[in-house]
Amino acid sequence: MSMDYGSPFFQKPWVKVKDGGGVAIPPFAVLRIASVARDTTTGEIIYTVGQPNTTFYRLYLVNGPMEIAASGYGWATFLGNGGLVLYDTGTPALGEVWGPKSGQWGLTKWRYGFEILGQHSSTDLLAHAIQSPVNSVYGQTNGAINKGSSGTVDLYDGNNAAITSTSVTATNRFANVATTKKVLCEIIGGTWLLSAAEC
Amino acid sequence: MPTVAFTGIAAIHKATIVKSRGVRPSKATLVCSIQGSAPPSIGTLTIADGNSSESWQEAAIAWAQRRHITNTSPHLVSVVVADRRWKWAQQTISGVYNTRLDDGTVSTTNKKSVQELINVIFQAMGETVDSSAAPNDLYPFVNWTGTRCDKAIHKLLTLVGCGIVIDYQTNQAKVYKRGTGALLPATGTEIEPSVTLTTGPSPSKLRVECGPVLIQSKIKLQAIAKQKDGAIKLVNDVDYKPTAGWANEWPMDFAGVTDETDRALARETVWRWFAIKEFAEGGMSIPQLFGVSVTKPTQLLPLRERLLEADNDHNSVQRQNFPYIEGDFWYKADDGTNSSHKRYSGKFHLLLDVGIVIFENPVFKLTSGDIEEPVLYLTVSHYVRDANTDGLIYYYRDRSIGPGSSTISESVPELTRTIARIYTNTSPSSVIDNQATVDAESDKYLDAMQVRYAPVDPPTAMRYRGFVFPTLDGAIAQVVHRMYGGKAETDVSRGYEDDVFSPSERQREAGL
Repeated sequence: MSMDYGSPFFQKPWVKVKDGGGVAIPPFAVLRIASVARDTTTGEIIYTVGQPNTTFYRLYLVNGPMEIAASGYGWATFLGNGGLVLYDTGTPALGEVWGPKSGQWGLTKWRYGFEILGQHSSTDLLAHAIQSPVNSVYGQTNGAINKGSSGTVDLYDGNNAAITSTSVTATNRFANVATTKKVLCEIIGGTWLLSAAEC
Repeated sequence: MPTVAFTGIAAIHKATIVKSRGVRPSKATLVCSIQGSAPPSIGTLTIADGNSSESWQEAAIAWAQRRHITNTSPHLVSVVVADRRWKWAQQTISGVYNTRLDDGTVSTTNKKSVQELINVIFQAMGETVDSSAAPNDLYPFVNWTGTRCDKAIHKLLTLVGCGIVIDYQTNQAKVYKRGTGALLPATGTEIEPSVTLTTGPSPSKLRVECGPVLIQSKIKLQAIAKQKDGAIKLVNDVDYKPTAGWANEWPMDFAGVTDETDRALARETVWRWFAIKEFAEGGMSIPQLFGVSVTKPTQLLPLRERLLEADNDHNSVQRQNFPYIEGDFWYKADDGTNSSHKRYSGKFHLLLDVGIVIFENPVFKLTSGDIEEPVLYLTVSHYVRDANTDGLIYYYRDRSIGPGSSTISESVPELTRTIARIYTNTSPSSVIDNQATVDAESDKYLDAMQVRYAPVDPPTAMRYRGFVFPTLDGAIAQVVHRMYGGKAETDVSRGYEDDVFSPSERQREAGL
């Protein structure tokens, strides 16, 4: 294996990150992107990151193999080409989809965004995964959403369990949908649109 | 009736012929009448006395002078004739032979013994030579680049206690071993009892001074870094080390080093520069070097570009291997795993004179996501310096030949004591030491020195009526023929040169 910057490890599109949460970030943690800015001194693009919260995001970063000190800097990747990422518990298996969870650094089963390629280490809780942007979500209307209106959709995971305090605002272009109805939403041009609904 | 003749010269009244050893020609001074026409510059000198004679083929007139010391008319001329060794100074030879590998062995690609090298020179000069007395088991390094043949022969043979003569009876050059040869001839024409002299004082000890000792070791490294002021310090001692240390400083940018210049220095040197700490097994001791105390890394400088260990290359030529690095470090494994005494395959280079390893990319360990100093070992060959004088440690071989404390030393730098210390992980497991080989080769050079500096036979000389023609050899050092007034005599000296009017061997060899 090559041991220099030409190695496969360094061929990944790493981006520079800064901890914005004031706590140390473990290796391979899933990172919520809080903001991105250009450092005026170095000219580098720096992503300020933190632990996933209840806000739903379509993309996350994943820390590299080194810990990032509180308010310190590190390097992370979008994992678009696959790589290692922390998970919380269980046994990630090929074909499953896992995703970030509020208040923890590792992925959890049934969530959105990370296609599992296999388990790497049950000791270190590391899985091989590849991330792709989330374009479709499943949830339940938190109030009626009539045709032409927008409303809150509380998100559910792939196992039909509610994701606590996590929602998207979706627009209905079709027939009226009553409250507490299961729906599917797709993002079109930056807007979540209801694409299917429980009668 | 003794006669001396040279092509084209008539009426030689008087002749003094001094035959000597070495690469300089013997000279014959002929006194004759001014010739009607100039003789050829190259011809044959013939010395005859009754039934025996000798001739110098391809002899040349070195110079001629008109003499004004007599009242004869016409005036007489002195003509100095040189034997064909005059040609040896006008021919050159090129070639590199007996290159030594770092492990002290002679490369097989250009290996030739002294005897073979002498043959090479004479073949280049278009002459034959009897080189059988030259060593066929000594391989001194030579680098001839348009080198004069006489100088090449002289240097080569002097080193091994040999010399060269012309055997005028066979008209062939011949190598002799110094100190070995015939006794003074017994002809019945001796004029007076032989003179026996004493040898000069001999040294008490002879020494072959070899090249500097070479060691191959596995060396533990320690991380260093450079500061703004140019100082190089241990990585934890540099003045820009972040307060929280290096544990969370990504070496791709060292974002926690706030000063821009410091950060540039960190990127240039932190986890990239490493220096000698000690041997892999701990400490600085080299047990094979008795009496040599190594206490600091600078005593191992400079490092060498190649190891003592060698392997064959794609041309089946033995080549020295390159230094390499092993250790415990993050080898860019995706999951942050460190190697365990793994060979490092990335690029690095050595600053040989200061013993610093510079990696192209940062090398460090990861422990639970924290960066730590790696454990690195460099396998390399190196010299050893004396702790007090800072001079390189040389190997030498002595031979005592008498009482006292005087020592005569000769340098044979291509003889190198090499000690390859082979390791299993961090423990020395075996040693490849060529001391016995170097001792054996040194002994051959000591043999050569001994015949030169401690002759066994005392010098002797004898004068004979008429011409007698002993062959010069390792014992018979000089033969002088004189012819005058129809008479002739010969002086033969053994173990020294008797004629004080001729340049001595040392004078003749000056500038060679």
